[in-house]
Amino acid sequence: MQAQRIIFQFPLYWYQAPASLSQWQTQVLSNQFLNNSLRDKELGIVVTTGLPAKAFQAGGQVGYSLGQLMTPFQALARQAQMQFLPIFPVYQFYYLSEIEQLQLFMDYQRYLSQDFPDSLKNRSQWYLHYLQKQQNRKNATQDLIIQTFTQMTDELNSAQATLDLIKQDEDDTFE
Amino acid sequence: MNDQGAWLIEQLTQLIKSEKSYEQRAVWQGLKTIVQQQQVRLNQIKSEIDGKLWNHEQW
Repeated sequence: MQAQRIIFQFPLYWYQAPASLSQWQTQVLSNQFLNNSLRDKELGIVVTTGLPAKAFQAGGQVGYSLGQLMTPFQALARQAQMQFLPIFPVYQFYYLSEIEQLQLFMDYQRYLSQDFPDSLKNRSQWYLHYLQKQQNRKNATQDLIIQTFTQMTDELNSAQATLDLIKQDEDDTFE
Repeated sequence: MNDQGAWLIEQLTQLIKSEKSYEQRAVWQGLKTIVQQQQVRLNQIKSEIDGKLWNHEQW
């Protein structure tokens, strides 16, 4: 089992995954497989909903958070000693503006391959890696954009390192 | 917002308008968001460094 990250993606039907996923689980999973083949891997969930985000909370229309509704998957990850990743919800996709959809396109790709946790540092690293992998950068302006972004990321990392150093001296262990 | 950041964001905004490929437009949009977040974080860190360096109680 070569994959590091396993992702279940489905629309929310009656507050759970569609029946086909349960069927798959029944046919494919076993205690032996769970206990031996998945340790230290990551489990992610992408769920699309017809209701908006605000419905999924105590007091909201649904009354429960997605985290609560997805508890069986967390139990599955727990048995398999997998890291359960934060759920990636897509609420009411068709109501998203074009910019939101473009942003979602990137956020989704990050969910598939970015290091957990979703810190600004990890996000920046992911973009750097992604941009460097793109082969077709023949345009000088676009090269400059990538260079500038790289510099800015370095500057941010340096500033953070400086701050950490100062905090060490003060024994400021809050963060 | 420093000059580099402002320049980047302006370039990216232009690219988002002119780019024909959907996938590539998404990359520029995503990058723009990250750059904005980096700017905010950089300002926060610089301010915190300033605050700590000028803290007379620590001299």
